[in-house]
Amino acid sequence: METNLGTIALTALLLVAGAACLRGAAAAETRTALHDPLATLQEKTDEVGRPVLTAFAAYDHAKIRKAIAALEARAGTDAAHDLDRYVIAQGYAEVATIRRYYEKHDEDAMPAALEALYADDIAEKGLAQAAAFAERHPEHSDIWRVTAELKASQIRGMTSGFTRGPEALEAITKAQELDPENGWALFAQGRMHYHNPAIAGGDKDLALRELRRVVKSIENWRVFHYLSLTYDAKDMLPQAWFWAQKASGAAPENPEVALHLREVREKREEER
Amino acid sequence: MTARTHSQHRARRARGVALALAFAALATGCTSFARLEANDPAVGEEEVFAAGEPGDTEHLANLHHVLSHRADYEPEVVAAALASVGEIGDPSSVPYAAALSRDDDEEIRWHVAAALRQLGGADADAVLVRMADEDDSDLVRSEATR
Repeated sequence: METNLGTIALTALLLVAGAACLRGAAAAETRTALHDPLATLQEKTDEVGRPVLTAFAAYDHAKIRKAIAALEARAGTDAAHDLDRYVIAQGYAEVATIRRYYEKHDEDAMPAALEALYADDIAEKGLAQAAAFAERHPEHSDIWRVTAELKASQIRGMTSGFTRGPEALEAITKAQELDPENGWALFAQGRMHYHNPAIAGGDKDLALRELRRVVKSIENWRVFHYLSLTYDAKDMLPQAWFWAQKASGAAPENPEVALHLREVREKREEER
Repeated sequence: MTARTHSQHRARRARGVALALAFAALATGCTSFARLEANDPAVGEEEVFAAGEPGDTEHLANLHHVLSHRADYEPEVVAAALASVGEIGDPSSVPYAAALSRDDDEEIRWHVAAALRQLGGADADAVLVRMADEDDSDLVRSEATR
């Protein structure tokens, strides 16, 4: 009986490995060009909303929050733009990311303005804006990517992971169904595969393939940074070092990128 | 046949199936150097990178094949081959790496510079000096001068 159970377990493992191989091969064969909806948004929004898109590389939360406040203030007035809620939701997703960085890596340096905001409240405000935008534009792919990022930002351990994780995945799937060439949706999926534990669908190999595909079309500091993180996790240090430097060059004021650059440099020095 | 021998027979058969599946998994190239050894352009960068153990020249000819057939491989696979030949440290890799020093892709040129620094020697140094002087990319120039 024990032998049979062991054999069944081994067979199951091999089938899972085989499926992963086939999935990898299928992913490698997909080579359509992706596009960058955030670059489009940066062009289409006005000078009030644009800082939301331009201040993120430096993690300038004050500038992002100021822009969000200005956009919220003009909601319901004649000055409001159709894209405002999308921009605001994106802004809250960025603030959540910045707050998470301080919370995880540099709590003592957390700016008071960010500390005063509850992480869950940031996400809820963003989700409300995203839902309102999606109601008017149900076929808009990228608003579902923003929704996924906001829901993922609410994951704070196993319990929230079991509820918010599937919700985030559902939103990413919807974003990709609506627009299979949405580069940021594939990035969000790669991020999820990077961060999630294996038991919750995490897969660093898959994350790497997804990010490599994104970077062919979107040359952005965040894509470079996640490529470096993924290579680092796979102990491919020369590649991690190259992409960490690329990220640092594209976002020289970003503290998270700078921290990772230092970590990879130290690992390389230890290895020598 | 007794119940015990039936059970042993079933267990042996199940083990045979498992072994066949294990062989099939290996044959896909996911857990071996099968694709690299077959000079298969669909080889993954992880497989190519894993072939780069210091002093281990077992896969050097396959890595040189990747470098000399640049157009057939994804840039990340070529980059991984450069990282591997640098790590192996065999001087025979210098011309293969040097031939890519003017590649269009910054990532590849950066890995060329990193590999040539590891490989060393007069020929590698001459290419590094030119790269440090002429390359368009700050990152590549910096890697070539370190």
